[in-house]
Amino acid sequence: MDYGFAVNRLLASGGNIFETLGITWESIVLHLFSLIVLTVGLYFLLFRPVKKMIKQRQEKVQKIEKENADLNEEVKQMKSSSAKVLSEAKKEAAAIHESAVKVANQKADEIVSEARERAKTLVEQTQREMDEERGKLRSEIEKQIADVSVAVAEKVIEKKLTPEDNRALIEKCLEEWSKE
Amino acid sequence: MIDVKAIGESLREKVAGAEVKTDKRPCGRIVYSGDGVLRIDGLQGVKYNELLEVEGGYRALALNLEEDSVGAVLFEGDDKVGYGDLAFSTGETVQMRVGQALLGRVVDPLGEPLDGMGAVAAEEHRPVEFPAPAIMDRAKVDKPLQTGILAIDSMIPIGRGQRELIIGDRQTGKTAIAVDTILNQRGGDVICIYVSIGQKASSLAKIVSTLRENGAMPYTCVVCSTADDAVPLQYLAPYSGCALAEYFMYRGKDVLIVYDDLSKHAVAYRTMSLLLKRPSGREAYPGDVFYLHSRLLERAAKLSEEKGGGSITALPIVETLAGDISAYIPTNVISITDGQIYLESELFNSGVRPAVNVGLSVSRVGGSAQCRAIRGISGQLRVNLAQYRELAIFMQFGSDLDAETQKTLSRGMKMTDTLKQRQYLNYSVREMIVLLLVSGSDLVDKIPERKMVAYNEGLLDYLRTNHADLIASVDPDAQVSEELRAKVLEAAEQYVNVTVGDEGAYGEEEAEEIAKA
Amino acid sequence: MKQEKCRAEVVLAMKADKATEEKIEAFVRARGCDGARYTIDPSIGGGIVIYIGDKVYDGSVKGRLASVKRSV
Repeated sequence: MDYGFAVNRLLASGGNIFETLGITWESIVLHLFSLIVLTVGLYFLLFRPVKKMIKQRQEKVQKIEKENADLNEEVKQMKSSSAKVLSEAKKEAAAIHESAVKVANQKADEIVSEARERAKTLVEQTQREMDEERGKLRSEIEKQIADVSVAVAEKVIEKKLTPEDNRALIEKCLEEWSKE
Repeated sequence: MIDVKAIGESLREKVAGAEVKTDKRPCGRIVYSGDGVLRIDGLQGVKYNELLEVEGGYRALALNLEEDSVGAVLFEGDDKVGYGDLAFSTGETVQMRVGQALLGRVVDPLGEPLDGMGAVAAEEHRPVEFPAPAIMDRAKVDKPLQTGILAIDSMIPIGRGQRELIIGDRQTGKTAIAVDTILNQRGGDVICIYVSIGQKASSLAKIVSTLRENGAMPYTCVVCSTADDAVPLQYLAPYSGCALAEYFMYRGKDVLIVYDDLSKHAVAYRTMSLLLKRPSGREAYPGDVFYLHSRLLERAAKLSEEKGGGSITALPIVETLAGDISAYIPTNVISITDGQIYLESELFNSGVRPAVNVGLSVSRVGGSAQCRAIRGISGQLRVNLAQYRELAIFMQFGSDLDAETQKTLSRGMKMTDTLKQRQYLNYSVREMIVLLLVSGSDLVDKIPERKMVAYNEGLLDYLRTNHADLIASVDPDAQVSEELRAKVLEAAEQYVNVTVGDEGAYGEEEAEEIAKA
Repeated sequence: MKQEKCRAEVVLAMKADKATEEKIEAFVRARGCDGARYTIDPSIGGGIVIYIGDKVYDGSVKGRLASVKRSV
């Protein structure tokens, strides 16, 4: 109802629209002024923080991109160096193997020479034992011969010893003992 | 082949050379014979410890001289000598055959060969009882005798001319230490004499074959009396061994003599004394059982330069019963010797071999004779080990441990493992220095706990082949320089990397494979 | 030494004649004994063995042979 009334009044007024609408230049100025105030206020309160946030986002994305690039670089480098390390490790392994072989060889040599020495001493010892056995046998024979000879001598003397001989023997002994 | 003609020749020569003599000598008549003991009537002029000859060619030793009779002990033939037999005095004390020719031989206490290798070609004799060197003839013990056993050489060092007792229960490795010490003299300038007193013939045979197999016989003489020998021979054995040792000592040589063992010697002497009806004292030992051992061990000495500078190092062995070192014979011998190596069956059974109880073992004079290099390193060793043991006992209560305590414990355990040593595996001085340096450094933290023994053996092998010059550059008679220490540790680290690092690399590979799968 | 009890013991292979006995007697007396007791023992082969106190004088054939045997 009000709208109809207002439009009617506008049409009726004809020429002076502003007057019909009741708009004065002061109100326009006032409105302009308030618009400016609003714009400025919005700019400070909303636009600036949003802009800042976007800037930060951008920076972040850039940083991540850079990191990615770095990592890629590193991976590349690692790939190239791993080959080097591998070859070095192989070399080292070879050296260790060599030293182990050296240790083993030396041990083997030691064992062989020890065995040889032992064999030698065994032969020597057997030789000595044989000599010893021979010597023993010999002395055994000598002893047997001596025993038999003494037995024979005893028998002969018993039979042949005359009282004269006996007396001479006794006297000789007594003389000998008296001398000392 | 046997040359029959030569036999005839030699016999004829001998007969021609034989002197026909009419005997005239003091004699007595045996009025009692039993248990190897003789009572002889007459024999007025006989002297104490004189050798007697009994009709039939048997020998006896005059020990009890009384107003009109003599008590003597028979060395042999106690079943052949009877009442009424004549006993002649010889005017000699008991003599031991001595000479270079005895090395490599096994002889009885009178110098007669027992190894079946022919007559001993030594014509010199020495009385078995001989006064100990006088005070002025002695010098300070200043040269080490290396046993080749790390635990002993680092913490209980033995000097040449020292008397170090080896004491412990049966089956604790007493003889093993002595035998190892003899084996370690191979290639050195020390002459060794092993005296067995009343040992089982089987164990003695084992020892002789060990010595022979390891090439120790050329510088060793074994004087032996086994358990079935006459008691007087067992009594005589250590004195004869000592007489032989003196022969070499007075010629300026260094001698090592092992008496295995003196408790059996005391028992043999007790048997003789009781049979001779001498009064007995504590544990039925006669009153002079202390003098018995003190006069024997006093003959071990280091001679002064004027006397040739020779020495006798004595390693008497005494067996205890149930670890009782306060029994009569052990206390006696401990007080006579310059220190003791105490072996414990508990340690032995828990795998610590040699089972040396470091806390109870001491060496009273060896410290000054120790190699300077070892002295420098091992000073802290004893203290560290004591700390470890204390901590280990404390740990049994099972409380949570901080990292520091755990580290001390692990290091102590590794140190103990380092001191373990297989029998017949002797270390040279240089190897000992290397082992002590490595086991005392931070490097041990890298080695797994149970692998210490294997690591030590491997390390020495590795150094011997790859760094022989490094080992050769170690000077036992000087303090270990920082430079040398660094070099040794570097080489040891290399070995650690070779062995321990190997396992690490393998682990990574495995992990990768698992990841791929 | 108990001199008063001293009596020499002489062993012979066969009985000696008067002159020899006198010589033996003299020898024994010279060593402080007052007499000799004789024993005949053919097993000594010949010669003489005298025991005086704690001394033995062995001049028998058997003893000589034994000593030769020992030295061989």
